[in-house]
Amino acid sequence: MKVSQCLVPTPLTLSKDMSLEQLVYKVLDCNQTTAAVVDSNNKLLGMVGIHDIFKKILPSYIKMGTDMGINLGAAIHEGYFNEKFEALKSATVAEFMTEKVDYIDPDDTAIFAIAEMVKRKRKALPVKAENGDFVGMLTRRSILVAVLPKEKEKS
Amino acid sequence: MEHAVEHVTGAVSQYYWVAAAIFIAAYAAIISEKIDKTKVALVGGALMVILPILTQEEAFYSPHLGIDYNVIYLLISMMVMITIMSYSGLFEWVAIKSAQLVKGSPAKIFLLFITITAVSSALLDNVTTVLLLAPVTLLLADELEISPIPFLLAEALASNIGGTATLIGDPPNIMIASKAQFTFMDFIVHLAPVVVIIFIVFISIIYFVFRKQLVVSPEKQERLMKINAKKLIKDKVLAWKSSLVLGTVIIGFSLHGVLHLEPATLAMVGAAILLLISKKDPHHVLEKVEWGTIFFFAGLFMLVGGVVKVGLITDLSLGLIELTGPTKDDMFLTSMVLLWFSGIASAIIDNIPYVATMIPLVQDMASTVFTDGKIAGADLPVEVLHNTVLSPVWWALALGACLGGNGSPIGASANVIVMGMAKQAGKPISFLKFMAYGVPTMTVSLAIAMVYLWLRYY
Repeated sequence: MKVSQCLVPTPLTLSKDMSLEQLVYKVLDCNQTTAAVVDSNNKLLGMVGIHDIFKKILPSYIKMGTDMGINLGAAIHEGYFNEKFEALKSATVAEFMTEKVDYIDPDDTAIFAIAEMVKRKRKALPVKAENGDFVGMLTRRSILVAVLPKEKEKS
Repeated sequence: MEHAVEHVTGAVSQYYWVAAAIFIAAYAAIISEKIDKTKVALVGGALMVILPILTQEEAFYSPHLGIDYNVIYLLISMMVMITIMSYSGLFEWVAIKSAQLVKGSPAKIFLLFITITAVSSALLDNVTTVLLLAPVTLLLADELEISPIPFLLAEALASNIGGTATLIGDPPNIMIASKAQFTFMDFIVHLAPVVVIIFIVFISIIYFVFRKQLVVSPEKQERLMKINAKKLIKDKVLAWKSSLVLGTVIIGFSLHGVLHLEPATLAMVGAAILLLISKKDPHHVLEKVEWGTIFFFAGLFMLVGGVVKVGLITDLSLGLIELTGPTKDDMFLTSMVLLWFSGIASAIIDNIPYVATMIPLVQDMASTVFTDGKIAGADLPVEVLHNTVLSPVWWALALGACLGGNGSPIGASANVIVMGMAKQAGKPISFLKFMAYGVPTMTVSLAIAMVYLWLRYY
């Protein structure tokens, strides 16, 4: 099975000028946790997801504490998340997105893609053509969906 | 001594310039920071063995020319104990409880955190102290909605002052103690008093400078009072176990002269016991050891061993003698020159390679002055190393090298870490901003140290 055979049917794509608030609505509407950021020529610019929003909102000292094995989140006041979210609402996707992303080729095999996802601890991987065009999105779910009908046929 | 004699008689003199070239090139590379200092020290050390300026026996087994395992194992063992202790959340709990104890007042937190940093740096090491306290400092500043910069700057400076007080507080002291055979209590008796004075002056001035930035509304202070500090304690039993072991090891340090056990041995026993009773996976704990620093030391010892063997350090010590004119009865000028030179040098370059070079230099100078070169510097008996004329020279070296670290952001590892954390938090401290507080702190500290050495020993 090739990667091109197990893509998400309607992947979520966003422009880098979109605001955080719009991004959250889009993500919630589509029931997808990760989106590809593309330019007007459908070139892949990066990826953005709920994880990136959380990372942006969490203060740096949380990561420092985690490195020492401690969750300093226990000492932050209750309203912190709401305040930070409110303050960042109009920030653009460009400020959140991950630019250097791992991607795969549509002609790669599904097992290669799965190995990449496991190795890199990714829930989704963008699929990019040789010319840099965004082809689609591969997720753990889309791979399983692609494999299931064939199993049913066999049984 | 036999190697120094070999140098004089020409048996190894053909290597003199080769060793000098390797040493200078390595120093230049370390100062430039273009290449990781661990790589530089290891390559330099390896070249000393391969060429062969040092024999393998000397590099690995000679107490005078090779790797100093007292230093290596003391560092590793302390890192292991502190890593295990850090898993408990005890440091964070103490920090939050301290902030609550002073009702969330930023000015009082400022004073308290600086004091905690200085004391912890003396008992643990200054790098670990700032690694543990800086994240909590950033958190409290964020909650109080004030700039964390005064806190971070003051903590970095205080860590270098506090670390000066004890044998284990700063790597230069560990190295001096190992080679000059000083005990933990020697450092407490000779350095702690002046460090207390320097700290009191420092905390008074730094508070005065930043006092206007340390005011917030009562509502913000109230926020800190609502923090449930208990949630930060991840493992209460581990907190007790590690405090007990570390406390016992520190008491052991103060008695190591009586126990006839090196600090490295005591720390290693403590680390082994704590690993055993903490039930932590040793692989995970050992991953946290700063192996880069450990191998930096290993390479550095071989690098310095090479130039000691060929006689370069002896020649430099003769220069120091010519410059400062030390005699069997008086080394006042030598102490003063060494104090200020070490301070300034340590602000510019890493104080670890500096002290590694200066120790054999002082030993060789003492050899010339006290024994006319009949006993090699590294073989000098304790009576010579600790005599009332030479002792202040060692203390001048320790004070200069440790306190000088405050002179620039790259002068001490703690400064580098604090600068990095401030940048990560989106509150960068510029090189010049650090210098604006660091240089006066270093100058005042060295001036106090100078007066102390003068009044106490001369």
